[in-house]
Amino acid sequence: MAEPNREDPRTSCPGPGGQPGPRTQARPAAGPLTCHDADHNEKFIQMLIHLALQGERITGASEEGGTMTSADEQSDPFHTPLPDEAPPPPAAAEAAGRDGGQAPAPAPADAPVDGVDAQVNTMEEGTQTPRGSGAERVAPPMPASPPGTPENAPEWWRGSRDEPKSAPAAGSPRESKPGWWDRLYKDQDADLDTYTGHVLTVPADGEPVLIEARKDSEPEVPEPDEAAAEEPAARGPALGVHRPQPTLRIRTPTVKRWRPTRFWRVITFNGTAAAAGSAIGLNAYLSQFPPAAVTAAGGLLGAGMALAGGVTAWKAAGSDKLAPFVPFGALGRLGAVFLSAEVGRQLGQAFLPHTSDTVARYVGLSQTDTSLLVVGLTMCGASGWLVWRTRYGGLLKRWLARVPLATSLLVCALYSSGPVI
Amino acid sequence: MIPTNTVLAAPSSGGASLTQGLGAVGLSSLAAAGFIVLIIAIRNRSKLTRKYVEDRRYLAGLAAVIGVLFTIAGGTWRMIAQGTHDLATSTLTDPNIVAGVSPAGIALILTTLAFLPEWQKRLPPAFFGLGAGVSWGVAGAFWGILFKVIGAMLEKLA
Repeated sequence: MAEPNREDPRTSCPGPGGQPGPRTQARPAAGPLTCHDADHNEKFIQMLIHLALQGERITGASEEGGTMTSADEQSDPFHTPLPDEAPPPPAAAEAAGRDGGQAPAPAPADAPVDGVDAQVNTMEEGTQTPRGSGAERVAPPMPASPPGTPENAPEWWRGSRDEPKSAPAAGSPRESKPGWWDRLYKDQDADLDTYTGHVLTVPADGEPVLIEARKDSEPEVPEPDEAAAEEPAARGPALGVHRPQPTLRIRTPTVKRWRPTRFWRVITFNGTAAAAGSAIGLNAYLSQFPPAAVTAAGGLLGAGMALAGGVTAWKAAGSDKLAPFVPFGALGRLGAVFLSAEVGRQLGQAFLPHTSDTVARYVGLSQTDTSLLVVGLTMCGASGWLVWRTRYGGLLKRWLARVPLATSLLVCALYSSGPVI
Repeated sequence: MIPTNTVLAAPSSGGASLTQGLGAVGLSSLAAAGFIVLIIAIRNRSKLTRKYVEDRRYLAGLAAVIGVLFTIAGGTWRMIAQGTHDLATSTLTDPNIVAGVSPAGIALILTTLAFLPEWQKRLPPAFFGLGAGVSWGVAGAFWGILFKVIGAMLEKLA
């Protein structure tokens, strides 16, 4: 979208085309503050001015009344040029612009540098021209094109200098390439619905124009130069109609990488974990538990409650409030742990028949089902706790933690004890 | 005879009690209603079913519950559900291709196929869900626990 400014020869800089030779303009006497020392390095100076321009564009120093460089004044519409700067007459500049830079440009190749030198010299001599007085206004306030750049300027230099000079030329609006904001704000019949600002311009011949809405999110590849050069010539009078750009623009989603669906991701992750668990024999070990659930559930529940009681007693006996009352120091703490664990084991073994009775009465599950549920919940809960602990780890860590859980789930799912219907 | 014994031994469908949700509807009527609800949910034209079972997973869950309902309702409903289950099972586990598939494995496969994939059409999750509801009862053990819990709720409702 930004390339037509460069491929149109009429809007290119008049300066670089006509000055292949070395600089012929006599340089003013260099003051102590000039860039005379670094003058041999032209690109260095260009870079300095470019940085100054960039800084002005960023900070807006001219609007805030800050220090103005000559680079600022080049783009300052209220600036009256100094007599030393010697701006070109507008007619010559216009002619140079029309001819595509064939005529020798009045602006010297290193006009910004000369401008800096002149400014410094003027300030030293004390003949400061009063700014803002419109008396000696001999030039248009803002030249249509900035002073030319040398021909061998690098690409970044051309681009940066081409950007700010997007002021409309004297011709019709179609003659000059307007900036992108012109399409947005200056065209009264701009297409504001799609926010592209394009006016659909059709050549006067009435030949149908195919408007295609691109669906690719890639930026448009600029066409080769010969096609761009031949197209306006073929169109004839409708020179301003360059290429009908699509009015309707479909905003496409971002480029999607191929990614397996959730189904295959879950299946792969848990399936490989279960396969690994089966390979290391964990499957065969864990599959002993569900068939022995009726005899194992009581002991399992007792063990679980013993563990819980032991941990609770250890923490309670070690707390600040209860520690003074624990006799015999660490030995008494250990005794409290064992006592609590034994109480928990007894309670757990007595807890299962009561629980299964209640469950069988209210939920409709038999005692076998309750035992199976206790065993399964213990297996999957213990391995699920491991998964929960490692949930923020890397992929390998999570997969390794997933191995016992996937194996337990597979063992529980593949255990069948006859139909219940 | 002591009248209290008679009252306690009476079937729950004999009279209204606190454990009955819908009174004298019965499992067969509930199964018929569930069949209609399942068809409406598969068609997805009703606003009410679209509100609750628009998601394919919820549709699969509804189909599984209705499969359990058909199984415990018995009779023709059970034949329908068993036929659906057998169709899915025999399609997925052809003995010439997959040998030695246990009932629990079939339940696992059907449940996975009903709930895990991102189904676009609405018939496959309902089909596999209905088969999964039956296969839970066939498999027993942990699947049987699921089946029994759902069945107990439905029996309390009817």
